[in-house]
Amino acid sequence: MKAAWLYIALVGVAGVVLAACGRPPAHRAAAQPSTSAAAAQPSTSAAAAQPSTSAVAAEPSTAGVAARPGQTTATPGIPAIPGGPTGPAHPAPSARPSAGVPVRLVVPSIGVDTGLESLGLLPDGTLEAPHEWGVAGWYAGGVRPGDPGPAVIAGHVDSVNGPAVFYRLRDLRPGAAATVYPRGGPALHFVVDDVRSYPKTKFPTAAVYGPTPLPELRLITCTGEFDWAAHSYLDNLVVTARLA
Amino acid sequence: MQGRLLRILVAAGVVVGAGLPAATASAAPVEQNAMIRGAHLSPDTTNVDVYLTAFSGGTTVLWLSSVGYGDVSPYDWLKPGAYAVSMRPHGAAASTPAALSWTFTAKAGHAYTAAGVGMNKNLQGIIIEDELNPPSAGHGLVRVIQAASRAPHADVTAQNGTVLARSVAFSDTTPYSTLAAGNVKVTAEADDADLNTSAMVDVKSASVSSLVLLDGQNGGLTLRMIADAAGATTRPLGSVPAGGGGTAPLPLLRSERDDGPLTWLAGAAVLIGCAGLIALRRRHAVPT
Repeated sequence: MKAAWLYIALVGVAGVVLAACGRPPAHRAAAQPSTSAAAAQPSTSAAAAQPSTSAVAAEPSTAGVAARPGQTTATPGIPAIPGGPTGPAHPAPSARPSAGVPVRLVVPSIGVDTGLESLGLLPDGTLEAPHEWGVAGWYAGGVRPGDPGPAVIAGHVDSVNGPAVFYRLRDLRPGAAATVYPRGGPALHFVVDDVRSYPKTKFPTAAVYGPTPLPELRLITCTGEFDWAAHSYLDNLVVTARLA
Repeated sequence: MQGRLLRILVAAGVVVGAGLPAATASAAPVEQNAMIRGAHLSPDTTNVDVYLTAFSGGTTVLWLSSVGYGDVSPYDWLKPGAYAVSMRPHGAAASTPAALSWTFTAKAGHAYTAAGVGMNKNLQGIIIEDELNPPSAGHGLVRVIQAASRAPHADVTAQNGTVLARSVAFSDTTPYSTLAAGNVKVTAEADDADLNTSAMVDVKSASVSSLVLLDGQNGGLTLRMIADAAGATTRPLGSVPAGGGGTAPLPLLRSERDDGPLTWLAGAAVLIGCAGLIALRRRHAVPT
């Protein structure tokens, strides 16, 4: 009988320890956003010290900043061009050459190193799935990685037997690195900004494919529950990264 | 211009977002960055250096160097928050008082153009918000930024008759208009002067652009098309198919990722139960 109680106590302790080990990541995750949120806001003390803070808005203001509290008008400190306007100071910038076709994607933190195939659209207008479980694909009808706009790379989360190229995409966290190698060009280094899942029925087409001013990357796979009848996952996981 | 702009970026965390929060796959929205570019749109003002000061932390950085009339910089990432933009004559020490400063709040996921506008004697700093919502398929969005002092008011019209700007005043910016994608001739005409100019512009599908009307080199006007944002020219319909189900739990098994307290309690109960059974079996086994 004693032995039985000893086993029960031991296993109970082990369970508590296991449970305790499982908890801290959640606490860390909860602590981080609040810190960052505070950093993203203008701090209260700084605001109090800045007379122009109350005017902070989309509205233009000529109120002074740190260098000159209380300044209310532009000082004529920037010289006028003698004789008046002479036209643009510099020639119009020529269009930047487009990045090469992407051929390889490396995401070290989740062990991804894959070639890239070109993906097109199916006759019904949807994106075709990558043809191989272990190789990701780039949507060639969209933006090339490194060009302004969102470049889209899709990869399978699993095959019919086990994990596939983007199985660990769900483990990516903001700040992680992702590097795309274009053919004949230098490596393009991206930094993960956002990892989010969406029901496939509410896929955010505009946010994924819509215009952006700077080069961005979207890594997409499946996630959520698997619908065994339809042989399809119910959600998509979308990782957003920006060119570093 | 890109070659000329010494883009000195930027002490820790001011422009390039640092320390973004961790997020789980289905967490609440996480922080995103804002985007900003600078523009010199004052026809009789010499080149300037542009500084950016984050209210949070008070860090000031030289953002753009030797920006001249007509220059529009590429975008930079910007951590959301309150900022001051300030201008000094090109080459003036950062310690000298700014000649012009203005403030704005950068919101996550928004893009802005910080511009110096007007004639030199009335030089003003403004923030123009740039559109990021996609136009309908096969179309582009185009607006006019009127920075030509020789045309106190101007009309800008596309070849197909679409009016992009009607009597827009010097230093004003129009809302975006929708144009069919393709090469299109655009004509700008001063209302109150005998001046006009035309340009062929390439309106890309799913793109957002600004047409900047400037005083030209030889007394006339000139038009420049600048990209605000670009997207996939053809947007796939629907979601992305990317899984075979080989790692999906069978329908009767619970997801391994569900690690809420109830799961732990249930797990602990099962473990304790198993341990109890083992112990009882051992006790019974001992005598034999």
